[in-house]
Amino acid sequence: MENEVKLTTGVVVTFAIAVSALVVLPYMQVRDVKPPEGLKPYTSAEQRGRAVYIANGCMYCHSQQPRSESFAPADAKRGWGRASVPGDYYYDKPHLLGSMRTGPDLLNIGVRQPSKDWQLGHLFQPRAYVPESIMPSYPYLFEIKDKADPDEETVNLPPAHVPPGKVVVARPEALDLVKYLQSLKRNYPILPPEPRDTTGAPAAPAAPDAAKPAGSS
Amino acid sequence: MDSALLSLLGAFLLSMIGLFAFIWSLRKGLLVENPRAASVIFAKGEIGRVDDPALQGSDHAKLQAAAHEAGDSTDGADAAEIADRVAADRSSAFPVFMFIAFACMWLLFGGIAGLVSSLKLHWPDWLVSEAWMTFGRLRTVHLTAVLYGWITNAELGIIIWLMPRLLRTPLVGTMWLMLGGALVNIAIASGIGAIGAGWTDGLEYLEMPWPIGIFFAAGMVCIIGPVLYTLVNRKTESLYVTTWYHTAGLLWITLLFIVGKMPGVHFGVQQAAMNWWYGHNVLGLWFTPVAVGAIYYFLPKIIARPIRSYNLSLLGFWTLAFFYAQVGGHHLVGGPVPGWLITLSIVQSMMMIVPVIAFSINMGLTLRGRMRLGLYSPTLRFVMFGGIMYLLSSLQGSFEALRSVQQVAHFTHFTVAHAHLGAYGFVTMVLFGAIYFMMPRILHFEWPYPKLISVHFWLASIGILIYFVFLSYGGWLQGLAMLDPARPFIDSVVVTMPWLQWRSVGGALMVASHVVFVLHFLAMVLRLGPNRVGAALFADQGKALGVAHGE
Amino acid sequence: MSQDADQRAQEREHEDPEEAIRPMPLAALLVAAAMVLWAVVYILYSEPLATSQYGDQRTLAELRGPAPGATAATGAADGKAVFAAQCAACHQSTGAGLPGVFPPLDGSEWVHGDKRVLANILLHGITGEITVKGGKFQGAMPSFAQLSDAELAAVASYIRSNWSNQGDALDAALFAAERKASDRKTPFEGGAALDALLKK
Repeated sequence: MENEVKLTTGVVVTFAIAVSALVVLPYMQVRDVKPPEGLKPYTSAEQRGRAVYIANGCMYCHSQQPRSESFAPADAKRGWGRASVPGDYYYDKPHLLGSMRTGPDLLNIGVRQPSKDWQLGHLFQPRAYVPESIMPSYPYLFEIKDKADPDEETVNLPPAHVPPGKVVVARPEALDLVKYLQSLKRNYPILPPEPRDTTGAPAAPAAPDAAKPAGSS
Repeated sequence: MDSALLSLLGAFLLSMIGLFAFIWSLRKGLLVENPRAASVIFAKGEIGRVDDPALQGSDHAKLQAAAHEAGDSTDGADAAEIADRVAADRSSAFPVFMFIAFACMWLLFGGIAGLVSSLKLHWPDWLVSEAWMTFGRLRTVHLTAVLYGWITNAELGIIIWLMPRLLRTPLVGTMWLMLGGALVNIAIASGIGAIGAGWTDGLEYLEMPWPIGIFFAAGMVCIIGPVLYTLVNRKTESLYVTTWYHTAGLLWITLLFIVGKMPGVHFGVQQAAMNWWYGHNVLGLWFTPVAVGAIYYFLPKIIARPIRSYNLSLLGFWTLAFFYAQVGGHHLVGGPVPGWLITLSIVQSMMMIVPVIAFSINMGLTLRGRMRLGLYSPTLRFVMFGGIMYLLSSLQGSFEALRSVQQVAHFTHFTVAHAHLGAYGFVTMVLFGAIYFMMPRILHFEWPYPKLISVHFWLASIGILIYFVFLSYGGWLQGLAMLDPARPFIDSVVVTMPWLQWRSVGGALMVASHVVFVLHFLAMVLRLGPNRVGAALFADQGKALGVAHGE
Repeated sequence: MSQDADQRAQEREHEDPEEAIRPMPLAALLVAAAMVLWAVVYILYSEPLATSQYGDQRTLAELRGPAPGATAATGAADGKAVFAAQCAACHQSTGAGLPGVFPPLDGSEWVHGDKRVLANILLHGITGEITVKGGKFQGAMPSFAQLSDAELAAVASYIRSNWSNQGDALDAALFAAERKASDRKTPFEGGAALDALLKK
């Protein structure tokens, strides 16, 4: 090759093709997806909890994307919920789909483990409840003191995990994080029950304008 | 057969025709050998005699014998070429030194952060009292430090060092490069600080908060300017293949970073698709092309042979440019992103076999009969190791993209092992080799302790092999356990434990090799140690020089 | 070898590499052609993209809500699976609970006692003090009303008959009836409130 213009043009054109295919087309396809009826926006406490989740990198060990029953049946069997669809992430900014399952999928943790007691104690010391767990403990989200103030939440723990004569109290970050986890529920249906047509894709009220598969444009 | 699938097929075939037509337009004797042209591109006035001031009598004869195989380039160079080379190196020495020094610092730091993260996976209650120490933050610090700090700085150093050499043109705009380097490293340092403090954009590979990302992008623009200016004002007519990869890599990473970091544009699953396209292409369009370009330079340089076939280089480069850019969606197999996007990425991942095979055939044929030089030349040994790992990790990656493999490997340590094979076994090893070659020419001082290079090589290569083999196996077991509804989830955790411990062993060896490397680097910079004469080789000088002369 | 300390490393190098103009090896062309052919076949045989907008490998069936009245009919819920997903985290897979925190199910008087009480615990949860097998617990069990009647019946039957428990099964109809019978919106206020339920 002798021509630097041809080189740089070719390089930029291949890149532009990739951006159109993998960034712009999905953008156009997903742009008009509406939130499903069963999905509620996060409250401000849940948003704060979500920020704690992000700041501490929970998404590096926990995915939020159960796979389809036809592809990986174990996901649904473990109670992780139905396969997720784009609408389920309507209020998620940034996305937290995750790429590792060092721990279980959390998209429906609010359905599966609604107990606040369990969540708080498990964050303080995962091995108190799951002996084989390799999740880090998060002592910095808690405070160990002699006596809880009246407006504070004491964490219910097996005696071996609390220093004698002390109580473990949850900091606001821990409480917000648990509120976020409890809010993770995608157990509403996406399509109406009665199938109108067994072969085509009906325009479901939940995700109606999701556009044609983009290859056809 | 639905229309969407047909459209996908049509788009694919159309783009293939376009791609191959484009490659055709650049060919030189693509299929038929033309004996008169079967020389080299740089023919005019550049074929020197076998005349080398560094050699004496018998060594000279041996070398000449070794060099006189058909198609070999002749050894040594005329005075004009040496003068050009010295001028080119002098023009780039200062910025290149800055980039390599930063790279070494980040390598040491990032490696230790990685080792601590690895240990935390089997000692989960170790170092948990402060927020910045938690696994989720420390692993991200590791990732940012090694990907942006080590690999990016080292690759920038290599690009800036090779450009003026290959273009026979002194580098212009050194001050811009220094400014760019400062901005890039300010961004990396503040990004790491921000992640430790819990301020992150939350997207894997794009954690650096976007206001800090502005500094990175601005730094990259400052670096591209002088490089492109030098390219346009070059003295040579023809562009060597390394220059293609390096120019492309610089443009790609900058565009990629800007598209990926654009605040307020991406949302929901589209953001996830973009995220993985970015994540894969930091490797595919930045680390890989620059490292491949470096192999294209250092390997033939040391063994003193021209690259086997220009046409093969052409095929390898343009297919990589086209196919690699479109992968990434396969990281979301089974996920909520549009299905056609995943199918497209799987196809393009498999198509990556084409450039990888083209590269491997080209290198294999170039190297044929000269492999033994790796016994003596440190650079060649590191670069050959890297090249072989490139072949292996790319083939693995292609097949790993298939849905049937992803079904097991997705969400497991198998993917982590694969990522390290690519980023360490291939890219980092090539960078080590390149730095061993470059530093004596930048500092005008030889590596003081050649034995340390050997220690470095063995620690790093054994470390990454332990890391890869054991973690892949553990990850596969993890995937099988996760896929089996009859087994509780915790089985998939328990089953990985021994392999996570082995990973820490491999990681510790790798970190130990970095300590050796960085100490050696410091000794060289501070001129602590013998002022040696001649290349740092793995065997005694007299014997080695005859065969591994180019080091 | 020159002993001149000022010898530059640049001078001992080979000349910069070049590329020979040789034709492309046939093997590389064959690989390229074979891969393009493979890609065409792969795309042709990949799954139809009709449901592509919902994600990869989605089937319409799993995204549909249950048909009206279908819950009672499909009584084939797997109690063990529901237990593993919803209950085992606190009560542990051994059913032994965690001393002082989560009460045991194995041998618990609340589990093998009155069926209506058990059904109501699952439907509404408990917040407050409760005594189980002589131990006092001060916790909060959430409501599991989001599960279907069939799933609740399956998991209740599972815990009543597993470990050392030997109770008989519960029936989805009981849950349907108890759901209708109570307008309770909050969990029971401890063991005392549950005892009161029996006396009604």
